[in-house]
Amino acid sequence: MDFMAWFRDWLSRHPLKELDPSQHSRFTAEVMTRVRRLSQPQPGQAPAPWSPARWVVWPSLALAAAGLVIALTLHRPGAEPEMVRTTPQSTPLMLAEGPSDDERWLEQTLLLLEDLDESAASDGSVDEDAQLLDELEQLEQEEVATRS
Amino acid sequence: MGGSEADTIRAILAGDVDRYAELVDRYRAAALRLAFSFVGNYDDAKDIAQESFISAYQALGRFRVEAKFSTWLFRIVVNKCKDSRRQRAHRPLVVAGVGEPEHDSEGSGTLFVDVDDPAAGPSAQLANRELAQRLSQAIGRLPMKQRTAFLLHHVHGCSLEETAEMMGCRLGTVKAQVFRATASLRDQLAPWVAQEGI
Repeated sequence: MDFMAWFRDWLSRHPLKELDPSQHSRFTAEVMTRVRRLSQPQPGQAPAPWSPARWVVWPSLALAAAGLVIALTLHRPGAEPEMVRTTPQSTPLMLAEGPSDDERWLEQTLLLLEDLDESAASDGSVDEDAQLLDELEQLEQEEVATRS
Repeated sequence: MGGSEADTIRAILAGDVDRYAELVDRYRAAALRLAFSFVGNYDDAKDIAQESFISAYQALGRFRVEAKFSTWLFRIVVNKCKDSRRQRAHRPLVVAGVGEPEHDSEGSGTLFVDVDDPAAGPSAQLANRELAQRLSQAIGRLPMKQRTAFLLHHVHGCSLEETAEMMGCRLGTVKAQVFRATASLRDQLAPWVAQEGI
């Protein structure tokens, strides 16, 4: 017989002690009393009743504290120049509407076209054509004269 | 877990608080036995078992209904026993008033019921009683992990897997702890069990 076999046999004859059975129902009752207490809302968790002091005094104190903090911040030595320095520079506003890009592009294009027309008119290409025609006509007359 | 137990838990979670008494009645004795085997007296065991039921109720919303309620509850009991032991770390563990039988209401100062064999002689009964005390002391002297594994597996009949779940450790660890505890008990009790032919 090994040790564990002996121990199991011994345990079968000498089991662990039990709680007195007469206390069993009391055990359950005590647990259930605490469980029911846990499942009910606690009196301390209920909202406090309304009172003027609660709704007047505390907000007043909070506002006074906030006002004090703001006053201290504004009147702090050197606070104003710093605020001026940190204020971003304002940008000038254009009250009149400027020409849009499209309009500007159209205007520039028209000016270019006018320049082209002027240059085309003043470069003398028409005279050159007429002169060429005259030269051709003169050559033709000289050739006719030579044949005859 | 059986369907009826799952239904009970669902009913409790739905607000039928009184049905928690069904679970307390069902596992009260086992929880008390388990706590008693750790702390060695019934006053502390009762406190621990009750606190465990309260903690289980408070955490019932996190319980997986498909799991075993008993395993979950016993894990809570084991943890509370460990906490109790830590709080009394400066005091030696006294198992059921061992060595002070006059102060023990149970009279024998052991973890185990003292069922004397009527056929045995007075000397045999005395030896048996002494063995019960030595065994209780030896279990009380085991390191906490070994004691937990040994009690859950060999005394409370939990499987090794259940023991591992209750202890929150791996199966291999439980096997090692049970093996070491058994070897330690065998060594400590050798002089007293030798006469029984082991």
